[in-house]
Amino acid sequence: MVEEELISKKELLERTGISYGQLYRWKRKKLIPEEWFIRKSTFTGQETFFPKEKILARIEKIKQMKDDLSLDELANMFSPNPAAITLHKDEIIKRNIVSEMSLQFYMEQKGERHTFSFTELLQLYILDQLLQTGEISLEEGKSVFDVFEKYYAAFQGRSCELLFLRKMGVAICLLVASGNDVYVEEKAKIIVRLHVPTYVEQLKLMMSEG
Amino acid sequence: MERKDLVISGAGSASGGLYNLVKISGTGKVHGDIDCNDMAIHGTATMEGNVKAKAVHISGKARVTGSLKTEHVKISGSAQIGAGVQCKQFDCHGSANVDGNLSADEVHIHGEAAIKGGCDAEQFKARGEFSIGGLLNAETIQIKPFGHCQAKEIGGERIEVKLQGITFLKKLLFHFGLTAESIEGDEIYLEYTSAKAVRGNRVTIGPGCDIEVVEYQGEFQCDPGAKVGTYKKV
Repeated sequence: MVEEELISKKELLERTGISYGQLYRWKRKKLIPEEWFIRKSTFTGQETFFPKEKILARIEKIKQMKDDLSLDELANMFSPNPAAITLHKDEIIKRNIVSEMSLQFYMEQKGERHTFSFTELLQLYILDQLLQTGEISLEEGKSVFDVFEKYYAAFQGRSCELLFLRKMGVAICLLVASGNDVYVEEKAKIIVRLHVPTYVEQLKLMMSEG
Repeated sequence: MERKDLVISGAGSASGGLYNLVKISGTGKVHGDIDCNDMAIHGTATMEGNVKAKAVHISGKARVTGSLKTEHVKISGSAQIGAGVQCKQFDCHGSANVDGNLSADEVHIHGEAAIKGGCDAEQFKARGEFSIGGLLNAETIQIKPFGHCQAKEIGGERIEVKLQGITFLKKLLFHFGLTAESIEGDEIYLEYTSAKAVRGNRVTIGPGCDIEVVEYQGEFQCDPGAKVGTYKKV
């Protein structure tokens, strides 16, 4: 895996124009996850670094939304915990959250239904994104549902990653706690590696906009 | 379910569960998690499990092996908590030991406190002695050291460390002050503090400080009685 580009705290404050007070407040309110604070020793002692792309995007978003939403509401949006919302089938299509095809497929697997909880929607949303990029097939999509249904609850708000491996045409779907190194044998290949909280966030954003 | 009172006045033990009032005046031991409205400990109590309560008052000696979750906790005796503490108001007039993180809206320390993890609060006021193993993160931080205060890192908006009411003789005989690896905030005023790095917008370094590096954006003032390695405007 390619090392993520890091940005030091000092540089971050300079680039975004926020103050130490704001940064610490956001950290306290869990708008910025603990795992992004990476401590490294430098010649001036310990310094804190952040994953550059993620933190810049996050701060941009906080700045945009902080006038409309309270910090607690924002925290909810960024937390990996599922939101307590259910959406109706028609609403999902209308707001263009997932394609009709994925929705149909889901109902074929899990039976006809009209309302969807957040976790169900999350599976759907992730599958939809995967199908659209063409990385996995419909058939393989089933395993995404299965693994999510059984094991997503086990993470209880900790962030996790969805991994999709393929070896000689056989696909395996995994959910792993994020921040771990994963190595696979030579013949196998990691097709997909996606950070679930990113999708949780996107989905929450889409739901709150509608 | 109806909540009943649990009162131990001599020596006794009970099991956890749902209670209205938990009052231990002698020596008591509670096995299992407790969920109660009020808790008052006047004697010696050991709670093997997690405690959840609306208000907790400890004026004797209490040990909780799990976590403590409450709105208001007041410690006038001594308390030891084996995991994290989550509350709105944390008042410590005696001594408190927290093995996990402390997260509260307001923290007042008037005695001594040792927190192994980090401490999050909107307001942190200390007048006594404390040690924090992780990050002390609060909107406003006011520290009046009466002994040795220590935190690994300190971050917030306003940070003030002021020595008050210590006589000259005491200053000579005992060590008073704060040590931290780094202190970062918007407005910083420090006295008798030693730190590797202090970073902020407006920084004032008062007497008795020993700081290796100061980085500031707005203003910087330094008392002649302070030792500052290097300082630069960024």
